[in-house]
Amino acid sequence: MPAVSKGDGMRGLAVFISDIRNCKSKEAEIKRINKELANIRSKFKGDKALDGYSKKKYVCKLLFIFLLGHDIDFGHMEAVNLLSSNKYTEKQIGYLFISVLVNSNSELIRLINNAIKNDLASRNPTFMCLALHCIANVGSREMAEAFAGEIPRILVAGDTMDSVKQSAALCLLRLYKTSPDLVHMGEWTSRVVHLLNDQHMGVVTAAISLITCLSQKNPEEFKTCISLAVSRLSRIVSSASTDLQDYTYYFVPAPWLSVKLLRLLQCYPPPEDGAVKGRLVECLETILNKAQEPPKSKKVQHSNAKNAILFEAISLIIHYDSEPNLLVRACNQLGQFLQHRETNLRYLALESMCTLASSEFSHEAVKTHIETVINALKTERDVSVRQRAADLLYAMCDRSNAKQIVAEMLSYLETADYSIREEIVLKVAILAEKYAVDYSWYVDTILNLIRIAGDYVSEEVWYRVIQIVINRDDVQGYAAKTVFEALQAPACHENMVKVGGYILGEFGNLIAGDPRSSPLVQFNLLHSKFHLCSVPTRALLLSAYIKFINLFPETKSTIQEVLRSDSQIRNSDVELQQRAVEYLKLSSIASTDVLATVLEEMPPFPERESSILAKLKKKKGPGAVSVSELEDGKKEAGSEINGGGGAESAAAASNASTPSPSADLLGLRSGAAGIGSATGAGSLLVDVFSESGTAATASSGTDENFLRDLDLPTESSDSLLVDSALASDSTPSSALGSEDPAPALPESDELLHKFVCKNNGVLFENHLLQIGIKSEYRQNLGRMYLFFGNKTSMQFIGFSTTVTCPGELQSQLNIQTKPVEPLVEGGAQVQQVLNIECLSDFTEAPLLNIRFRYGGTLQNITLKLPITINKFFQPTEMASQDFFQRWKQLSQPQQEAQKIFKATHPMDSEVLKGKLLGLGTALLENVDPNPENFVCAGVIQTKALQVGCLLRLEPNAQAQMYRLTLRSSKESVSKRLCELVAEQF
Amino acid sequence: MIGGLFIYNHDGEVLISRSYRNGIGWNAIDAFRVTVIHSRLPVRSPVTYIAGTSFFHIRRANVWLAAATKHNISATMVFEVLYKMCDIMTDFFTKINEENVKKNFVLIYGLLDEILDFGYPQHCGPEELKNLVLQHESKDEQTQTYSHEETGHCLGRRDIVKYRRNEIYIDVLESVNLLMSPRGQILNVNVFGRVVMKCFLNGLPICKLGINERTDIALQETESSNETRRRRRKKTVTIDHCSFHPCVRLLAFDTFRTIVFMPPDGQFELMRYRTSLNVILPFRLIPWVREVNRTKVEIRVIIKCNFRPSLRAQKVEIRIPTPLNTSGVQIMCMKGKAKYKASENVIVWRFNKIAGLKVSQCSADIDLLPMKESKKWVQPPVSMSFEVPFAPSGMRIHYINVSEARLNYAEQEVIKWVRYHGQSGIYETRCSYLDVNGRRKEEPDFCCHA
Repeated sequence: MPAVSKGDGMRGLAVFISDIRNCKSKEAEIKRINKELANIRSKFKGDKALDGYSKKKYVCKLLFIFLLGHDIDFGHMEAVNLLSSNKYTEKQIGYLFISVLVNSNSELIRLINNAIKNDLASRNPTFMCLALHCIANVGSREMAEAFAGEIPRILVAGDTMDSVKQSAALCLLRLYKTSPDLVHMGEWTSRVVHLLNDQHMGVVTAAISLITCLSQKNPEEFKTCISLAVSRLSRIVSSASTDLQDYTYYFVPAPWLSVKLLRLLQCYPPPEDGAVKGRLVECLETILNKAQEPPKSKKVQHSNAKNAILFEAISLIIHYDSEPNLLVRACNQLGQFLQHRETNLRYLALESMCTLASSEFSHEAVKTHIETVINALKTERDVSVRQRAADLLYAMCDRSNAKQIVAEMLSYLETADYSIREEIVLKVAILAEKYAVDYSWYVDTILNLIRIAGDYVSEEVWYRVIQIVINRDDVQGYAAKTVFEALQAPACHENMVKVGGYILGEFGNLIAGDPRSSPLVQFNLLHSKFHLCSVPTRALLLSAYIKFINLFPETKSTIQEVLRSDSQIRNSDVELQQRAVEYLKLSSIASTDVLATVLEEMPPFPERESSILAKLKKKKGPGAVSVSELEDGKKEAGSEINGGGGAESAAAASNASTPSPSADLLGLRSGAAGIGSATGAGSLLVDVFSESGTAATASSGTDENFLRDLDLPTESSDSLLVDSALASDSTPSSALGSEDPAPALPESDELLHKFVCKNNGVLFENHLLQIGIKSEYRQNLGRMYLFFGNKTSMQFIGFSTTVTCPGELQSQLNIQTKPVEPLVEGGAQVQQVLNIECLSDFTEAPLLNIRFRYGGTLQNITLKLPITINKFFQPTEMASQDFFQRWKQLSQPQQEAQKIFKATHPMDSEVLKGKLLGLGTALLENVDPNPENFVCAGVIQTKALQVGCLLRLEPNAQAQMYRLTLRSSKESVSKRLCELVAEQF
Repeated sequence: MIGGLFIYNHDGEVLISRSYRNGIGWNAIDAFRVTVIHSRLPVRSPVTYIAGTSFFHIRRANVWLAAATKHNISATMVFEVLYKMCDIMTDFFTKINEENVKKNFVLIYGLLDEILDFGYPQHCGPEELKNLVLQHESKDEQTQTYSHEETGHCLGRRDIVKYRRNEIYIDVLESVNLLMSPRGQILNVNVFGRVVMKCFLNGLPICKLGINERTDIALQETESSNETRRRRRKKTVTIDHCSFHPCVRLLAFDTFRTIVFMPPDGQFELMRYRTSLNVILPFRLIPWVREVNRTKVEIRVIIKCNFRPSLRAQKVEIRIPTPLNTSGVQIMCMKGKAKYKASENVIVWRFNKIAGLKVSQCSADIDLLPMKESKKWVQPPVSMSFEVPFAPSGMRIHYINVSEARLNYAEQEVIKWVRYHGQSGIYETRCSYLDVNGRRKEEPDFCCHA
């Protein structure tokens, strides 16, 4: 035990703690604690009041017991009592207990708040500090509500002590982080900013953390801090190492403050004021100069502090990205670090260079270090550094050095760590694709990749090769030849077999002229790999075989033999068996013409975003790649770089909303163009790319300041989301964003006809939403239940539905609804009930308009509600003579509607009966002399009148035709019914 | 097939290591030490599987016994061997601890050689092992009987004449487990009993033991009058399950239900049994908990002794749990001594001796400290421990006949001693709760923390 002065020493506590420490077993410890708890309980319960000292002692013991991991359920009141003590130690213990043990929703919080208020008003600096620390430690919303107004006042008051100001600034920062909505700086803003000028360095350091955090949320309000920060920074940088006394750390003046100032400046674009800017540039230059000076001390702390400032300065330079001179100097400085003894420095240098490489000013400068980086990749002992080196190589790659870098990465891949192999494979695949000068090189590279690291080549990579080979005519022959050669290796990876099977199946004919690669040789080569492959690959190979039959009729018998063998046609795997059987039949039955049509060469793939890139993004998370990708996009936009990608550029150009037709092989642009339809979460990044202005700064900002990112991870990702949402909203191509209901879907008429004969079912379904219907009708009234199901995992916001009756339908149909819940959770279903009243007969269908927001985009769907006149049928049974009597009564020409039409469905009498019954009428048996014919009768009930209807359907099985005759007392009804019913058969 | 048997001290040093099969070597020893003995968290499971090897361990004082195997063997068998090993060691050097193990390591290796052969258990009886394992003085004649014993015909017995008097001691040792509901219903009761014998008999005697088990055929032979038969039947005991020492002739038991055996010399456990029917509960506890208000609870416990007044129970101790926010206790009891033990949150009420059919009462007023948050606390049952001089299962030894064919000593010459001893296992009674007005409630609702 350290010696303590007599007044403070709590002997009882010391004895208790040493007792606990001396306990031999867990059980003994629990026994001792139970005994002590019983003792404290009896003391707290005791009738005579405890003095402050013993209260403090017991609260201390409780705290100790709590920290040992036991529940403490009493003593809170005593701790609160301690707060009102006048002794520092008692107050301190009270606050300690409260910040450790009191949870924010305790009912004691009111008492505590009161005590804190008293302390804040006490003008005693130590008490004020204790209270502020307690607020910051608890940091609950209640605390924020109670004190958010008070603390800024303390912070800027002229007579507040420096130490209190420090505590106040940090306390306010904490409250702001927990509940930003409650902390309103408002009128204090300028005075808080002026804290940067404070005499006391501690206050400045504390204040700057607060200002950085605040200015990230509202940069405009705190804009004035730039000039102050710059002047402060220049004062520090230019000061001699002894000027700042206590704040000089191993000969470096105020390193923490400098780093924080530099970080604050990174929240803003370069200062507009020339003088300020000049001063800042001067500062940055001084920092870079200082890095060149010989170290003043050999201690590691000295160099750490110095380098911390340097790296922060470099990230500021990168952030500004406007001073070519500085950028190049920074790059050179980092280049020196690349060969430094310290592993950490090498790591940081590589990481910063990664971002430097994306700047147009320093890209060339970074490229000069390529040898060093490649060397690092090969010789570095630390795997994380090697990973960074690989990242940097990827970032610095462009057309000029792509071949070298890809070759280096490929050779490194053979010895690379298993953990980063897959990523490197993806990077190589992307680089090879992006900077491919000629496609033979690309094919070579990818095949090499599969050969070296086949296990790590994901599906996406080899899909992409196939896509590219198929889309590009000039490379197909070469690809077939290379693949053929690669397959000749005794052991080749399954992915290689897949690529080989596909390409030879499509383009084997291009190399068939060579006797060394004659059709039969090709086939035998592929088939020799067949038995070593997994089921999906075998399935692919079978497809390749049938393609062979088409390409080379001379192989037909051999291949049929293979397909016919028991191991294929009786394979235990259903897929393989099915393919074998079907292909065998196809090859033996179909004529060559049919075969050629069926097995035609695959059409070119539609251009889309490279699946590999998406995969890499998924692997690394947003931000990591986006910067370099974005820069690439920027550079390549407008200039035709990628050697005449015919199909791609055509596709891009045809897309009207593309900002600039570019020949980006990766299809970034076309991805961005598809923004209106892109609603999934996966396309977020694509959205960001399209907003090249604002999103660029946003994403590069988050990337460079990964430290700040760590502070506020959710915020930065939020901002990304918001940006993208705004982007997709403001894009003109998103016509769906308008407020008018969209015109009814073209297929809605068809949907309507689906429901003429049935009352329940699925009305509409797309990838987001499913609408189900359940309805029932009685006389002229009906009730319809609509079920809206959210098929996604995200919620629909602002979900609303409206039912409208266009035109004269308003007077014919009366529909009442209740509004639905505006929020539909992911996977949830909401229900809406419609009450329908038929006033008179009608022909049109009412419209249902659905609107909601999904992932930021407004969805607007309009459908026709399947409410048709036949729903209000009442079946009428009648005898034969009754029927004919009525039939004759309705013999006027306008009462009859007749239609002769071709059957669209098979003529099954049972099905027909079902449909006619579904129509709502009564099916009359034994009425018509011809048993083939169907006769129905019913009355349509509307509020105004009742319309009797008779129906006769005469099917003609030979001609596959129907004759439908409808007679009713009202002309419009006959016509409408005739139209509706005719669609059903 | 046990691969190896190791004894460690508390620090993980290996005191004894005997490996019976290939594949169990130093790396296994180390693996056990690292993962079990030196593990940060206490290892609860007695069986640990480490890289293809299973370890079975038990602890005695500061000594760990571990058996290792690479095979899939019966775990209960291994533990039986380990516990037997402990019994044997206590028999040979009274107490198992690190010093004794170190002092007797030669003996232990000798024992391990006899107990297990190529990993298969062989001899586990202390008496027979005493014949096999050399202790201080060497004996020549043992080699002659060696093969005889190996075949297992007369376990651990040689034809000796060395006792001046033929004596036989029988101890019936039982422990009672009980859980009783607040209303006095028995929720669970069972008795675990052992019959332990100590024989000092000359020659090769055959013993026949009669007990009052329900299906005991021997009963009918001795019974004469109807009257006694009925009385006897009343007092029979129903045994759920029993197991015998290997010396008992199981064939005779299966056919005639008599226990016939040739006892080994010295002490051995003749049989074990378990019953759960017609158990005589020596004590009945009636605990009441009454809450007066939020800060006061009254607990009252009545004890009733349920056996003949001539008998006396010993070492009776009743533990009454108190709420966890107790701040003060006032106790009154008619007999015995009661004390509040804060370290365990119980009131302990003790009697040194208590005679049968006595009734006594203890009441305690408990002050509670009001809690910040009220949590339900369900009082654990009141538990007690005791020792009584009778067998709570009702087990009785009716007779023991000894016959010796060669020496032919008379039945009357054999001096027989029988002792009954019952003690508590887990003997618990749940509390019944009363509200302020004295009415019974299902659950307490005073505020305590759990």
